Amino acid sequence: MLILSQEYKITDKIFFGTDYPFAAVGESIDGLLNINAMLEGTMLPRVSQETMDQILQSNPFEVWWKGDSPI
Amino acid sequence: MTSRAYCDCHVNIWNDEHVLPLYHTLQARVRHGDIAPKADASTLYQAMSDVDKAIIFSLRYGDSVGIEGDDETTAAAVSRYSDKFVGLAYVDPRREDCLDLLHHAIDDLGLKGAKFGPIYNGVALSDPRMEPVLAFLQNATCH
Repeated sequence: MLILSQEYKITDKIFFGTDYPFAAVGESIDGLLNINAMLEGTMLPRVSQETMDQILQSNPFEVWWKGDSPI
Repeated sequence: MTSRAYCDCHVNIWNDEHVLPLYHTLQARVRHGDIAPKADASTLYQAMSDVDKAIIFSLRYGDSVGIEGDDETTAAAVSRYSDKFVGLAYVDPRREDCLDLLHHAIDDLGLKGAKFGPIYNGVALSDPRMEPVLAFLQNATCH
């Protein structure tokens, strides 16, 4: 799904969320940062560091409220 | 190595009294390993130490998830930890008092939007019951 979002250039529509307590912040961040490990030894496309950084730094307050941030 | 994120935009909050037996039955069935046993405001605040902000909302899906929370819990947590939390209301169009609850959450409790979970309530975004909900939210002042 992340590869598709890169290919369709919609990574800016993805925001970071854990669904805590069903997943923790640390494991969610680590999972994202290590997502390419499963592709080791293959020629499959990777999730870029740019995509990972964009997701981790995503700011819903600038987007979800259409410029009228609640904070 | 764990880094940081700016905002966790999907954080559930509930107190112990909101947990029904169904919750434990379902979790044991679908997930292996540990799930954080608590999701109260203090627990969330500690758990969100690696983010600057967290968008929180309570679950009121006693029938499908086994958590019967409320928006007051969300609002109290936001009030207590205003540096970290932004609260959204819970919306379930199956309830007859859905709009009353939403008005209360936004207008009285000061919550900043709504969290809608079709996977829990089986209501599609295109369902006619969503029309008054969406109409209200489009016109609501949430800042």
